[in-house]
Amino acid sequence: MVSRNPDSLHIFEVLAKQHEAMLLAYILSFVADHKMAEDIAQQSFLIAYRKIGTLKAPEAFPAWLRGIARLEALAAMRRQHREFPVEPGVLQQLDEAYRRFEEQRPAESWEERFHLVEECYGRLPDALRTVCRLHYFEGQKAWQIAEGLTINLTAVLKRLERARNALRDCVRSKLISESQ
Amino acid sequence: MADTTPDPKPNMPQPPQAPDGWELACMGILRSEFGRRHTQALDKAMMQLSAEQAWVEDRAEVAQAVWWRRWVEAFWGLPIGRVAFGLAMIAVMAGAVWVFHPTGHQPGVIDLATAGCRITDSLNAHWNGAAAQLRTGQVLPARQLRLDSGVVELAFASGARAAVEGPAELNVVDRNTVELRLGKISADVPHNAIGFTVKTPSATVVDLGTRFGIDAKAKDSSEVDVFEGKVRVMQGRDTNAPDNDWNLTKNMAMVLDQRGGVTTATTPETAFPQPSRVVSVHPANGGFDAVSLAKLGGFPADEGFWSGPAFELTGPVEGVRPAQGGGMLQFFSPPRRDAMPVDSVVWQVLDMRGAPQDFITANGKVDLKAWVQFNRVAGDAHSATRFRISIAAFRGQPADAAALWAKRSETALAYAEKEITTDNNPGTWEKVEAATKISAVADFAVLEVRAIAPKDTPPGINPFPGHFADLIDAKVCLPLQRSRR
Repeated sequence: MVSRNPDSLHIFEVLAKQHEAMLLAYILSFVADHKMAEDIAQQSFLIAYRKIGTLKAPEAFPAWLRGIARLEALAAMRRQHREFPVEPGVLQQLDEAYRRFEEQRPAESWEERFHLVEECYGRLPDALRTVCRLHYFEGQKAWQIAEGLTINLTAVLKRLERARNALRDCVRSKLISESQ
Repeated sequence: MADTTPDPKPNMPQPPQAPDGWELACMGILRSEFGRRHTQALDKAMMQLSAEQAWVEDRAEVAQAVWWRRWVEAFWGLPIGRVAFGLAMIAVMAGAVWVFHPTGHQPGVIDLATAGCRITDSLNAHWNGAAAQLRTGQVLPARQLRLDSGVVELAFASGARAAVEGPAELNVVDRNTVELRLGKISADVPHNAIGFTVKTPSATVVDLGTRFGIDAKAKDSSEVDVFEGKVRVMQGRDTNAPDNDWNLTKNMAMVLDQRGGVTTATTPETAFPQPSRVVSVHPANGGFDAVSLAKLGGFPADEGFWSGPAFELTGPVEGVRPAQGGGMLQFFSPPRRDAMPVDSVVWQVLDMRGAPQDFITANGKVDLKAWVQFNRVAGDAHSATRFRISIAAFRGQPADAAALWAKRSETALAYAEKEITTDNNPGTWEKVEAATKISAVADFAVLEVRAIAPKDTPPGINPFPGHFADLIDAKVCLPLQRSRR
């Protein structure tokens, strides 16, 4: 039920704004299409506002919001007769990664927390950074990158995989070392 | 026998290993450009929720009006009165059918195109005709409206903000477009709302990330002034086939009519109404939900948490529920001092470096505001009834905050406080806002909430049997302003 108290809308907006960047990044973990990710995020905020009364522990808001987004993504893919591309175990790891970000850096905004990933990205060799930029920032397909860089498709896929592995190792080791 | 198994194609890539959860997290963060990628998801959701709220209120007003007619006409006279009563009852039933009909316009399916913008502030605004009831917070209906006088601030779903000053005739076309037949408008368009468009009878102005003003005058001529950034100005209303078009940059102005456009001397920005601009200075844990960001003790020695001698963050208690979320602040009674009762106080030191500094420097005198909600149980004759919120901005080190706060009347760059006497209904929260002006950049601010102990509280009596605060926030803002001709 939508509250008719205008303050509650404002308060929700302030709270949700703090986690907007996180929500979009989270959805983009398993939905590559930005427009679809935007729609899922928008729908997630609508549902979150309507169900905010069911949130028992307010500090769990970001994790709760991610849960809503996950279900929304699942529903959106079903509507398009597509499979949800992520195994449950992998989803657990994904949530653990976000939990680590929150626990290790409680006073920071999500943009500040994500700076850690940017640092790790900055340490990648140039060749890996280039394919990452073209694929993840500019949305090019692997074959388009291969054509543009005049290298074969296997090399592009391999570089993307190596970049992902290197980023994962760097980010995870930093977050885990901070907790010790 | 020949081997019939086809050779694998030499260029066929090996399938990559499926990413694990940590890799997925990194991929999402990369795709979001480390959280900096612009998203309108929340803006769109808020616009839809506002539209739903306005829709619910509109339906309530319709129902209320119908009931009023029923009562007036029921007591109105004899035969005519009875006929009128019958008509009123039909109207009531029709209203009920409209409200509850399952195929009616339901809140959840409101089209965002009809919720292009909402009114976020106003100064003595008088709308003409049926629009006279429009209030701050409502969504502007998508039809021709006339603002007879005053100024309204409009927040578009795209993120653009505009101030319109009457007399003006406008029509919000969609979430990023407005038609202005007459009147003055100035727009503050963030990067994400590039493309914000104002159509006047003689010109179409498309924003390219900027602040600009338009004066749509009678006789179908319009003046366009650019204060910051760049706009594209097209003669005529067909943007696909404009008669002429020009790019205007900062400190350029142009007058257009049906015959064409000519550059002209710029008009100062102050000759146009100005939409408000806000920099929030959120206290940490403003909803009092995170127990870890609150400590019992004296004045806080650092930023980012609540501290005070006698308080607790709690869930629902004493029949009082938090205004929002699961937590709220409960005031307790500190030990008496010299046998006198002592107020219960909680403070937080807020970082004001960064964005607020630039904002204050750029805009001179701006508003510093803080607000909170208070609530209490009924208590008895000795229970406290008054609360206060205070905010002060300082230059210096947060480590010196206690000393500066103690002498705030001499040391603060800006200081505001506001008291409220609350009712004894634990079911209602009462909001209070303290506001002042700040004209110099500050390094930090101190926010205080206080439950005030009655001086005549007898010894052994607790003046705070159930006194609470929730939802505290603060902002630095340049308020909506009318034009200075």
